Amino acid sequence: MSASEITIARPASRRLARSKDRMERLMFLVPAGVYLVALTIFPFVYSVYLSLHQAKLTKLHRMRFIGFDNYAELFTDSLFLDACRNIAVLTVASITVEILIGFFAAKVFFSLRETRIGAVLRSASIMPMMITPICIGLIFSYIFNPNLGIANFLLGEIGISPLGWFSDPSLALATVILINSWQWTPFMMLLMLAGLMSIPAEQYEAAEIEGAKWYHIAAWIEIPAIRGIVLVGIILRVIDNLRLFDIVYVTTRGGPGSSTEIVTFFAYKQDFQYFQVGYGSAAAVVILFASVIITAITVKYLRSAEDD
Amino acid sequence: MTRRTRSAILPLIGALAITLIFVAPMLWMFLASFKTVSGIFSIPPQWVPDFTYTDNYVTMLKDDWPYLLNSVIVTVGATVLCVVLALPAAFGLTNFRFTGRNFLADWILSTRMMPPIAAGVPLYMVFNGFGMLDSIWALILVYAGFNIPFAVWVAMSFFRRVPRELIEAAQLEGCSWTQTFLKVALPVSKSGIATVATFVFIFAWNELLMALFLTTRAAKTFPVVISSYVTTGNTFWELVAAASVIQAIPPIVFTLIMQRHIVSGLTMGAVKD
Amino acid sequence: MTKQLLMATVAASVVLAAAPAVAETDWDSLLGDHSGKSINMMVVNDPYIEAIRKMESKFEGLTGAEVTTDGFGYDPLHEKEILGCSQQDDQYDVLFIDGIWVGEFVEADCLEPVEDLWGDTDPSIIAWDDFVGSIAGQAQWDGKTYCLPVGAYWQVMHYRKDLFDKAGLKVPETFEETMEAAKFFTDNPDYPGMSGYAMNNRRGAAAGQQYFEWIYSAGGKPWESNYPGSEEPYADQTPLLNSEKSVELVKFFHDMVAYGPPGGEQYQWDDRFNAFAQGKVAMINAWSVRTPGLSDPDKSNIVGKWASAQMPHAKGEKTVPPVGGWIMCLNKHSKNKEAAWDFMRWFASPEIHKEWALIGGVPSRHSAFQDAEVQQKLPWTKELYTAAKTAWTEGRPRHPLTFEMIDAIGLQVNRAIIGEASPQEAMDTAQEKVTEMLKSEGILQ
Repeated sequence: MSASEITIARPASRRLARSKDRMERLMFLVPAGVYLVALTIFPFVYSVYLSLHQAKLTKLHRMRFIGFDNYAELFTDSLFLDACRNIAVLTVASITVEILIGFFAAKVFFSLRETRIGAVLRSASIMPMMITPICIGLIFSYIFNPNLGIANFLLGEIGISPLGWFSDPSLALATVILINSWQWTPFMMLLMLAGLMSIPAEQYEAAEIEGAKWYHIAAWIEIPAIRGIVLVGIILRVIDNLRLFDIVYVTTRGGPGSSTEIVTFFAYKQDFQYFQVGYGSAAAVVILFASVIITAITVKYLRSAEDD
Repeated sequence: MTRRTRSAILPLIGALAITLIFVAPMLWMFLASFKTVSGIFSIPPQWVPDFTYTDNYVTMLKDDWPYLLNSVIVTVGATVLCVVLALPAAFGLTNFRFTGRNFLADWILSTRMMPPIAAGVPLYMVFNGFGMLDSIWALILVYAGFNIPFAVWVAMSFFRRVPRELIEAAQLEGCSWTQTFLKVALPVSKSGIATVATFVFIFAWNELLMALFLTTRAAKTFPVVISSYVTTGNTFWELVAAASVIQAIPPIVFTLIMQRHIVSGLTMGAVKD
Repeated sequence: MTKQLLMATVAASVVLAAAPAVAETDWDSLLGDHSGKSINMMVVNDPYIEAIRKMESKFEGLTGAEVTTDGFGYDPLHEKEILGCSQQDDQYDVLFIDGIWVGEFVEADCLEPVEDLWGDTDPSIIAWDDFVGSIAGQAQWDGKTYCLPVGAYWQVMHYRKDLFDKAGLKVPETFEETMEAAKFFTDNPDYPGMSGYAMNNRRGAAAGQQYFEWIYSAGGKPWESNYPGSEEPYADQTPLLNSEKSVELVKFFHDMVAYGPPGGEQYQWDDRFNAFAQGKVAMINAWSVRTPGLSDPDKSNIVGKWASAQMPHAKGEKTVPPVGGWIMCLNKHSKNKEAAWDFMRWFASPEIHKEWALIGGVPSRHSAFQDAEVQQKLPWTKELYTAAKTAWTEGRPRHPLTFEMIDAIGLQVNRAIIGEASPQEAMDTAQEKVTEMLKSEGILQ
């Protein structure tokens, strides 16, 4: 359609053109929108429906309505409650570790920002976060093998007796946290590095003139400068931790005992190992609601970060 | 030692230590891929393997190359489909004025937060109903869909940077929205599109959970195959090592190429490059 | 060379290679021509899978059908098999299922009963009574024979004969003696790096199975009317998981951790085997499918240094060896039933079964155990045969809830083993959970 066509158009066809324009604009949004409805709203509704039934995937025709029984059972199921507790501990601990080590690492690379070696080492050290999680899990179950792994060998070399990384119930969750934060510390580091880079050099110079120590600089200049960015990082990490699955799937599978049981794995087992899809869906709906609440907060912060 | 050199050396040592921590575990698996079964777990460890020993790769690829191919097809297919759907939506959300625009954008973002397991059983039922279990198409549809929210949001962040005057000029010249999108917005956003596509590629490439229960045989993806090397009977570490190295190549290459955009990508545009 | 010619050559060489003394079945005339057909099998990734694959080409030579064996881990196998066939999936024709899943598969309408198929087959080929009774029973459900029990496992205890001889120790027979012997080898400066006994402690199926492996030898019974020799083991399913004997047994598992290898709380089937094969522990009990590995220098550091005995029992009780293993079933929804059934009856026949057992399969027939060649090549099968004949078919329940239930029990047993709960607490919880499950499924009133 050329410009001249539009200008000479008569009123009737102008209306037509406007509705055509509307059609056109709709076509930008509708495909993705419909797709997302099919992929999210429908499963959600169906999950809620299933969660109100006693249903087995291998004989769905014998499904039975039982109201909220599945939910009532869920909140008395010690395994599910352990799973909720573990994922909370895991989330808080991982993110804390990621921030502390990430900040240290960001400072280090910040001070090497203009060197070539700094750039090379930084590129190398951010590799973990993009690597397939299942490979990460396997790398560490290789390293932490109880008798023959390199970790216990190195500990032995310095006179420490071997640790049951995955088998000791008081250590297993910590090991999962370690793996998780190992993978994602580089992400926090990059975020904070971006924050540090945005600090005007004059602020540092001024602080130096006033004789500020490193902790003054951290408290007065750096932390305020990276706070917003870190907040975004925290929220994203909370959401990702709620979805964590692969690492536990290949390492501990929730054990020993219930020490590394997490909600996604719990739901997976109910759904696809025992085929108790009613009960599993109830767990999934609970996870979903937890995520929705956190999402609401996220959206708010992402918006305000964007408006800055 | 002067203060100046010391202040350069301390961070350097720190940087080396950090790099070691983040690289060594991956390197250890890489080395294992060139070891024999007994070498993988020998104590004391075999530090440097014989790099000409490639039996692990040969054995693994001989049996499982079709699944590697599956992974490539699924990932590329999902990436293309996702980008094709997400870019127009992102363009619309940044350039059209209509009520409920923010709501729509927020809703799209919120679907990104959904844990995939929550959709597991329903999707299984749907694909079963259409006879699409163990089909590459099912995985393409799912992976594309799950990444649309991410793709839309990142794409919005770079469409927003397209100068408003360019869009308006195109409109004044009588370009339709489609023309504006194709001829104005897309060409100036090339690097942004590349970022989105690469991220979607990696997310799809890394996915395990959905593939675990949507595939059985023909459509198995590579991560599923890797997970199957760990059995209750035995863990085939030599295959795990070789397969992990291959599986890790795209993410590593991507990280090296795209590192400038990683932050803005992973924060869905909330943090600028 | 054309394909037919190649196959003919293969077939010919196979015939030539067979021992002339054995009465030969004329397979060529018995089996149909299935050229162009393909038979897909789902099998667990246990060591015998290699032996199955070695047999594929032989059948291909006979019939022209292409046989493919796909291996899966234990949990994924269960998931894929039952989900697939309950949705009438025909991708796989032959399903190897764990004998204890049979109730679940029958309920999901997955299996074509083999007894409906074998009518016209020469009885000497099926030779049902030749299957050892404890595994044959697992191929039947509700009085009907569904599958062919070709992949039987039993358990015996393996011990380091060299070390026991050196120490002048007697091979333990009771739980107490077992613990004493395990204690002796653990942290003993004369046996550096050794521990006593590696058990199957890992949470889930491993620990759950272990409970059932030992409970009868402990003099307990898991369900009211289930005990060795019970006429109607399913008559009263009231669980007795927190009975005194049961709790004592779990306490024994817990106490044995101290005399096991480091990290033994996470051990499962392969870990206990590997620890023993690498010479790190003095005793294990293990499914017989792994036993050949102990004599394989590639997998074992202790070739010639081990021997087998029956598993221990509580004082005053008798050993009831565990039975398990795989039964070969025909997918009801298969599109290739004829070819698949031909494969099954060929593979299960005494003649082929023996051949398979000799190359790494698992002997499941009396005739295989009694065969001179088998006894000479696999001397350890002697002790195993004793176990096979005394094992209790219903050692683990085989109803549709089994998989889930064993997992739930395995969680609690493991919690007691690692000290997360006391044996009494853990088994009380198990009792409560299992009762709830049985009731909601209608198995228990």
